[in-house]
Amino acid sequence: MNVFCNGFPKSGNHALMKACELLGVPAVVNHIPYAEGLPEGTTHHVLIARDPRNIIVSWLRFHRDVVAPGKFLARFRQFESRSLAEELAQYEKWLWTAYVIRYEALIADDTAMRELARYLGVPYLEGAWEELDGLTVTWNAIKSDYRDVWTPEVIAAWYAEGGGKLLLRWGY
Amino acid sequence: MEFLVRVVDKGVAVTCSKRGDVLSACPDGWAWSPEELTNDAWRIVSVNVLQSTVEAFLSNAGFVGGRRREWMLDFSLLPDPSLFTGVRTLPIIPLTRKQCTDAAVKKP
Repeated sequence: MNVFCNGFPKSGNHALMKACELLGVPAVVNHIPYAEGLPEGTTHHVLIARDPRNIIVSWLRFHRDVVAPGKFLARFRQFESRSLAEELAQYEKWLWTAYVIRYEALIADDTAMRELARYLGVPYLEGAWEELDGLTVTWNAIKSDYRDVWTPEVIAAWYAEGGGKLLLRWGY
Repeated sequence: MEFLVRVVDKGVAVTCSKRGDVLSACPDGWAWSPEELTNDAWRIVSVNVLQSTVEAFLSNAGFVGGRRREWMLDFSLLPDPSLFTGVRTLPIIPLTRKQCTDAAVKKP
């Protein structure tokens, strides 16, 4: 078995890595767009997906920036080199070909981890999910929550600039 | 996995490694130097942890170039905190994974 964990940055990649490890499956963090393809020999491709709004909030916190409406919209319009929608578009085709695990489901309860174990063909180890929270490179006790900046002005700008379609494409 | 951990602050600057920081992580049976095995400012602990845990202890996001760590071991939460103060009494201190994860604290 050759498992390839993948995901857009700030989507919960380290949580996915830890989830695999807790199931006894070695894993590392990867950020590989669809155009680059999978490494030769990959037998299982797992993609972590997250609400794009929380990707922005997580990015701001990771870079020790202020989580405020203006910062949120600025990062939506230019995430790193392009808009968030354009950068996420590089990963969207994986949604159709990879085993997709949603970060929100992964941290909610053990259901997603049990399903991941089934996909990987390994037994679920009782107590694994209970160990998931904490002790990763990017872990925070308080989870990123876009609702802190989801003001009427932000909502209007988000939907006027294509954020609604972005959410739909990613299943949110 | 074996961790070289600091038990005495190297200095007051934020970039200086502090008590509880994991300085390096090496495979079991690593040939530690005589200095690493005897310096009272350090300890070596042996613990079976996940790779994601190793990466967490060694991460210093936002402090590139410094030695500051995001995570530390709070020795007071371990069964025998006295092993992490003063003169070394064991060349390598064994910990369980649970002991290690229970003592892990993310710095503010």
